[in-house]
Amino acid sequence: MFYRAARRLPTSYSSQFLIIKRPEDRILAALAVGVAIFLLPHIASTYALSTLLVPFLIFSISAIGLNLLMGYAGQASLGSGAFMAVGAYASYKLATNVPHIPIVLDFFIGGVAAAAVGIVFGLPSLRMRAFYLAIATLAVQFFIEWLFSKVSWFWNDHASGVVSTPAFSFLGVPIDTPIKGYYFSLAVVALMTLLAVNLTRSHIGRQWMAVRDNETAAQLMGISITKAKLSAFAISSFYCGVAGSLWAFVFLKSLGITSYSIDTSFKIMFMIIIGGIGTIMGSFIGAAFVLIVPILLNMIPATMSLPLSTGVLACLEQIIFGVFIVYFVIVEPQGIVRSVRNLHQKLVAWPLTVNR
Amino acid sequence: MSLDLQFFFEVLISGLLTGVLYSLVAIGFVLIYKASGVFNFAQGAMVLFAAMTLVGISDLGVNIAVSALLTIVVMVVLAYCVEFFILRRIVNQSQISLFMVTIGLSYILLGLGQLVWGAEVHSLDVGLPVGQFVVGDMFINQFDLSVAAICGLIVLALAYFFQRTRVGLSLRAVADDHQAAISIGVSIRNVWIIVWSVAGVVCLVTGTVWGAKLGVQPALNLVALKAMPVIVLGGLTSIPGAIVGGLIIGPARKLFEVYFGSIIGGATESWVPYVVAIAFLLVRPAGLFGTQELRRI
Amino acid sequence: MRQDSGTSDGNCLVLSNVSAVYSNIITALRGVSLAVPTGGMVALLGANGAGKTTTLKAISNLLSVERGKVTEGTITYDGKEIQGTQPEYLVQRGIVQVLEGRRCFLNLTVEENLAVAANNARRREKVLIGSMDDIYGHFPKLAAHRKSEAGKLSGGEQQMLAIGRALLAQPKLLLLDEPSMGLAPQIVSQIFDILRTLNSKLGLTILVAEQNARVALKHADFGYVLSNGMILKGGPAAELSQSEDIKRFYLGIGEGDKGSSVRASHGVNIDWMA
Repeated sequence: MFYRAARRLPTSYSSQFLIIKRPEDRILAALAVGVAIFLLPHIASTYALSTLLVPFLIFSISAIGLNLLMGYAGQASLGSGAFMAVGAYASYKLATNVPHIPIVLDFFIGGVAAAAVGIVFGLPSLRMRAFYLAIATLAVQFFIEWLFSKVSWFWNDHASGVVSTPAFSFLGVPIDTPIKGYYFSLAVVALMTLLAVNLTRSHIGRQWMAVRDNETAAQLMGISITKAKLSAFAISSFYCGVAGSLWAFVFLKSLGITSYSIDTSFKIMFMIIIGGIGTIMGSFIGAAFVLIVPILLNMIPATMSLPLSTGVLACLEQIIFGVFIVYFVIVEPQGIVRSVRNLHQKLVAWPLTVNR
Repeated sequence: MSLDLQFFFEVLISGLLTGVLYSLVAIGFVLIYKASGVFNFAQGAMVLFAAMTLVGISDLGVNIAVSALLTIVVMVVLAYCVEFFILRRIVNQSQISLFMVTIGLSYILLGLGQLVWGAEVHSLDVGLPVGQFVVGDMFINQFDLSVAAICGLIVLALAYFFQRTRVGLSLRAVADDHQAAISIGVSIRNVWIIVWSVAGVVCLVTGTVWGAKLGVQPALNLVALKAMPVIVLGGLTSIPGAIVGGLIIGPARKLFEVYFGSIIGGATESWVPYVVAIAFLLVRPAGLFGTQELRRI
Repeated sequence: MRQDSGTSDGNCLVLSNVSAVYSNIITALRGVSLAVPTGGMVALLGANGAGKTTTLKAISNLLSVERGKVTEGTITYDGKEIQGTQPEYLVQRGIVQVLEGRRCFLNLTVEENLAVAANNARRREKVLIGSMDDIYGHFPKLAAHRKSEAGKLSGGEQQMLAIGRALLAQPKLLLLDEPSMGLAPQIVSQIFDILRTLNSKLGLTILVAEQNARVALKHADFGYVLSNGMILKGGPAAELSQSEDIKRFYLGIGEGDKGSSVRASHGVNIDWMA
């Protein structure tokens, strides 16, 4: 009823290249975009904007990056936090030492720097698989954490290891309020998502998936494994690098290595697993879930005025979060996006779905 | 012996002995991986949980030996719960999913442990000697030496268990191809419960030893991350590998930190073990003793 | 020769109108009915994706591992319904399966592979096979490679190892999933000869799923043809191998439309077995 499925046959080749094929879905997407651009910033409180929406947008970028690497190319990586750090610190050095380049461009260059580092640290993937590769990426994570906490050149030799990031503006508009931060992040997310969707549908994306599904067969087909894997690392690190810069410049407005620790890497991994590994949509769903659930958990005892001490509360939250993770992996190992897609399919056929 | 050489040997031996401590953690990992194909990130949390339970029970006034027995019971119950609630339901999922589940499990155990036993640091005295041996002019820590001995005993016991007993053979079969094992009647559930229980006991020993050395505190959970290079270097499926891995990583990180650390800023112990492990992996991608995947393409 | 309990109608295993799905979305079996008489050797034929493996896994209750389940129908073994029984209990009751692709314990030696099965059947009646030496008697090649790792054996040897291992689990009903897959014709022939011997000399009931219709029908007593999750045809092996439908279906020879699908007969009449 909501979807007209009959006689919806394609009439041109170009119509097959559309990202969203069904007109009804296009309306939905337009609605979502409209809400995001026009409605949300005005109805959301400043608190919600700055603590929920902006982090959600920024981490979606990291999640997409990791999804491209782990979900599409099948390469394990626990170093996403480190790549975020590389992007952030690179942007910072450029912003403070090379003032004639607009800072927004620095984000891009920082991403490229992260990509370069990604290629170098992605080299072990040519020799190792799965779990062992994950450990190699852990090495990257720890090494980078150490590097950015010991080598003071990276934070311009300030006395404290944590520095504030310079303010920046985009197209002449200074990004200094939560709303402007939101719009800026939204723009970056839109651009990067479009890029990612097109990447996954391009020959590069297909090569990644071939390598993921059967490396030997891919090799026999003439795909260069080296190029496929390293390009995956490069592009994924680029995404994480840009996200890292945004995290420092837009959200935290400061730069310190603790925000890019292994906990961050795990967080991003949770996002893509819970959201749906191997899907772009899943990156968003997962990011929303991982960021919102702890806040909700925090709010429950307050609203129910339970007399629990903060220590007990923190323990309970940890237990509940753990239970959530276990529950999700058991019930929906392909992520929330799988449930959403099943629902979508049922909706398309409704009311003619047959219950088996 | 010259002072420099003596110092070198002291650092080396100290490194070897701390390496053995990491091997203990690694052995727990290998056990579970061998038999359930799961890389148990919750190993560190289990070590902490076991140590906290032991200290918690003995602080209530119970004799230490009885506390240990009670803790073993707790770990077996934990094994049952993990099998019932988790393992049974994630059969045949991807490695990543399995890994994720263990991360979730680690959060649950960490939260539970602190909820029940509190978050303060407890000291633990199990009667291990704390003096120093003097060999020539060198000091060797008695405690570390006893730990090495305990570790050796555990390894021998486990090796015997895996290679010579029927249960051990079933475990190896399940580790190899768990569907095939089911099809000829091996009870996967029993195998898992046994393995996680044995791993739980190893965790108890590990937790006791680490706890005696560092005090039973939440940071104990991080030993898992420290032990990973050891596991990877030795090979995920090999207990001797875990020992050798520890014996390589332990001294390597100590020596590097002592001799080169000051030049580049210190605190290199977080990543040097990983670099060492990776260097070995590049030559032998399945770890020194790991079984190379026999894949028919 | 040993007496089997069986049922009053002499059927060891009966599937009645069994349907199975994967992930609640993909229907793999639709109303499959077949019967395996006690002491008989039955072939389950079909192309790739027809549902042979699903049928065997449904019998051994191994579908849940792949997010599959039986949604309709009953599976009766020795007169009792067995859907939902834990796989390890089914093995104890005598249903043992040799999985598709051999699935030997590649990192264990030949001897250890056999020992795993023998250990688990320790407490059961040793009706069929007395000991590992009996296995070596049936499969001399295995005796020669006793201490080798299973992963280093050839495909044919691995198949024999898988069968030998299954035998040590003391089956009353042996299920085999495509034993001929990837093997040279000579080896396939040897293996089926051994299966036939086990069936006729030791009275072992066998249900073998095969794509290789010719070899399967040559050795079996009865056969069923599975296509798209439904049984198309069933009958004595000799009849099936002469049947025009089978020839058209498998070999593309025969009169009539090449592309016409063979009509499915739901709920096949199995009285001809009695």
